[in-house]
Amino acid sequence: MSTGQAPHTGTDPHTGTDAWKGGGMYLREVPVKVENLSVAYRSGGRDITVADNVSFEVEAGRTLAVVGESGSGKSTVAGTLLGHLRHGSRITSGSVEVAGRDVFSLGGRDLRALRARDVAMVGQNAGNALTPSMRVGTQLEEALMARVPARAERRAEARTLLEKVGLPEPDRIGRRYPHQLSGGQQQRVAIAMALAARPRVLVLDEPTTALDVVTQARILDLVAGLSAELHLATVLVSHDLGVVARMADEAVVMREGAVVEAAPAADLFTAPRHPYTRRLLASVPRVSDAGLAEVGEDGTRTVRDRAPVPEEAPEAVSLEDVVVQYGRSRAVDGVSLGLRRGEVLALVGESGSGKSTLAWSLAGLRAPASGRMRLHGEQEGDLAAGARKRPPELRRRIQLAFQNADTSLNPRRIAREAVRRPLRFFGLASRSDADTRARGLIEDVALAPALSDRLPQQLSGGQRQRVGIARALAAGPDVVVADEITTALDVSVQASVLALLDDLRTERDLAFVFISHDLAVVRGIADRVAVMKDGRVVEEGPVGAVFTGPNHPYTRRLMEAVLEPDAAGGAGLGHGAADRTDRTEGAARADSAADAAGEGGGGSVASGSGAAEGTAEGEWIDLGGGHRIRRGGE
Amino acid sequence: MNEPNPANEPANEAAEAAPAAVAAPAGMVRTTLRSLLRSGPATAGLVLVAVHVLIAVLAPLLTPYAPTANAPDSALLGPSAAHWAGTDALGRDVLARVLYGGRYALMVSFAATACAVALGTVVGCAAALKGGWLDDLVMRVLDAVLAIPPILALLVVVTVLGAGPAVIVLAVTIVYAPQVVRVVRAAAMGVAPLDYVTAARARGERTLSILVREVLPNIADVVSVEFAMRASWVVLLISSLSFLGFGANPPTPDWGLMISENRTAMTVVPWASLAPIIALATLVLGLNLSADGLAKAWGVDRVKEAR
Repeated sequence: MSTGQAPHTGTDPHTGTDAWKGGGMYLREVPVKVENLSVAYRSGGRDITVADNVSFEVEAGRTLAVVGESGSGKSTVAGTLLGHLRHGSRITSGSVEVAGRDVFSLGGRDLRALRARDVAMVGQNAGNALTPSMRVGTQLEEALMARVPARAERRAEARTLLEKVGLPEPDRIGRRYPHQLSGGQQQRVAIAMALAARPRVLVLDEPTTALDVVTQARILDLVAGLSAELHLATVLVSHDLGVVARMADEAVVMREGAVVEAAPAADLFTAPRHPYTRRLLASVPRVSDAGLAEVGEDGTRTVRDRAPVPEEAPEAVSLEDVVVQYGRSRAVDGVSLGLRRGEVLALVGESGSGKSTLAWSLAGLRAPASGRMRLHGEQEGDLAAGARKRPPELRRRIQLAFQNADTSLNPRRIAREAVRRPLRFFGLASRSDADTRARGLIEDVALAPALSDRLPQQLSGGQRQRVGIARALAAGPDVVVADEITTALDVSVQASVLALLDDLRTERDLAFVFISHDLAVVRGIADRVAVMKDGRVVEEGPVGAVFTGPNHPYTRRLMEAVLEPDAAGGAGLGHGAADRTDRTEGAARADSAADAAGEGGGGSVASGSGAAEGTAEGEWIDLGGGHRIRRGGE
Repeated sequence: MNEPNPANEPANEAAEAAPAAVAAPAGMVRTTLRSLLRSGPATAGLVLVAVHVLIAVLAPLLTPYAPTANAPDSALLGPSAAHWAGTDALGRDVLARVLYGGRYALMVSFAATACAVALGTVVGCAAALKGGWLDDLVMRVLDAVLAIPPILALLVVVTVLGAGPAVIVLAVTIVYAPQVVRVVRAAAMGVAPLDYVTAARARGERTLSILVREVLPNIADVVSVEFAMRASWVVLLISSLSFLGFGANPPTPDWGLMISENRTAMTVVPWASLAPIIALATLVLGLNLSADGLAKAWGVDRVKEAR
């Protein structure tokens, strides 16, 4: 693989002839050709269309992005490229041609040959795609079986592949089991497996959605490099317009199964034609916005002014040197923060940085090992105790909202019941009163009252998230801890939920601890930002100051990893193209180092960073206005 | 589960094909029934159990004979128009004894299974929710109990405390609850880390309240299947006890006891022991088929849950 396979060498003798038969008008063979494809499944005696007359082509060496919100049918279309349909679905019209062959006319044997040789897929969750009981090297060799018969060669080839996807020490990695690798490493192995057969078509279904921004940037760089080098026709399915801007040559925007706009990626981002595309693009939060963006029906974008938190706003929560431990490792390592009424404090960081642990600690789900945590207000309260040891009044005043809309509500209870429970539990409403109050709260989060009788399964993700917020509000809290509550939502839904939070903040004088790894979202919603790394705060300050810099190197790395949907290809914070090529090369090296560091588990990472900071422990550079940066590099 | 929920039946029609098992509670009963009735074996199982329950309830109306009335002059008769299944050594009508015989078995089995499943569910959920040392302690104690063969444990208890129905219910509860605990704990472990349970914890709800409101409704399917499964085992166990002479006391009509009493006269009046055997076999078969049908209808993987 390292030699790089020459394109169009015709590995398979009959692909060329088929292409000629299929459409003689093409001088060059087009590896992917989807024509008028419609897919439907039957439910309750009716046909439900999932994909409706979808057509596109991808040439070798090009990347086509299929963009859309959840339920737009984009993954269904991606599956058809491998001849896969979900159970019960069928093709109602059109054809899918991959490498010159009509995929759905192929029998079992030919289809397997196609999947083994011509087309490969990388799914969203690589951890699930790898067999847990098999070493990754062995799995990779298995994928090579069809092409490389000799065992020794296969082994060498597997090693080369692991090297190619930028994994350090391929021999050691090959001997590992999937669970011994980090998410980013697993994704790399999955990509190596996809490339093992030297496919001509690579299908990527949300390849980086499950990863944090920094890892995402590395994986995307890797994929871009590989598909250029191997001259692959790549189909990228994503809901993330930033990723699309970074990767795609052409883009197809899907909505409710139909293509609403197809254009070269650069045109799509500079001059979107369809109103839906315009709305979609406008809904994406940008790091350059100084507040929440509001999007009109026609896709016009206005940035809402942020009402500054008044100087004299009373303090709501204060943390002093808080340490939270899991066994011997410190998930939160000496954090001091303050939060005022009416203020949104964003906690930012990669996965494993301790931000969620800190949130759980605030909510009383994990008692801190040391440090002071106090809730202020008419009644002072000590938050160092777990939820059950806190007096009810204190528990009531700090509430939690969750990331995952699927599991945050009890599937057997209707929405109103979920909101009613805190009202009754904290004695805020009488039995007769509670139902009316719950209905009112559901209206307060901008849901139709009729929805209050629905079970969670009968609500959409955004609606469920609103019910979760209503449940948190029901207790009448001073502080709401919102843990990645918009992460799993589509951009347009995300925008409306963020607007709701902002309204609630001003209406009810609420303080929010807003946890997110998405810096653009944070820019819009937060008043202050605290960047966390390995359980420590490395930078803290007003949102404007932090985003204009100067910054801690880690904060800068996070910001550079942000992908924005613009014609420049999504370089964060207006970095130029030259800067980006630079980054691509550097990223591979930084990546290897970071992955290697990540191998030892959380404990050693924390101690490692402590050592790196050396004597500068606890020292801050104060930039004024509450903006401070921890001394010492990464 | 206790949520009356009439208004929202058609609400998810527009939504994509929601899996049947997660539809509204009222709808869930209906889809379960439909799924059960569509499966032949499950229907047969339900019918068998229903027929047994009906016979036990209506026994006095179905036969003119009293099950315990001795008639020495008509002992050991073969099947005839007067005695459809013949008579036993004491001249008692076999059919009447079989029809009445389900009462004891069904009542004691039902009570014992209900107790075992109830106790097992509470302990299993508590272990899953609390975790930590409580979980470890409970599981090790249960492992110890599980190591004792059920019939041996029952014989010891009955020998010491006598063979009254209450004692048998108690003994079966103790013997079978550990197995229920294992299954329910596994199911509850899947629910315990979910966010709505976390929300209840953060609210400071008591463990019992979390269990009843948040966890139980979501493992009700597992518990129901477990109940049907255990019931068939308990019926067999209790009949075995009677057969060994430690269950029902003569002259109580009971299948296990009847088989034991009449097996010596097997060659003379085969129906006196065949009839209770058939009755027992059909009841156990019916319970097993129903359990399988329920498990399928709700998508409960018994192998996985019992892990």
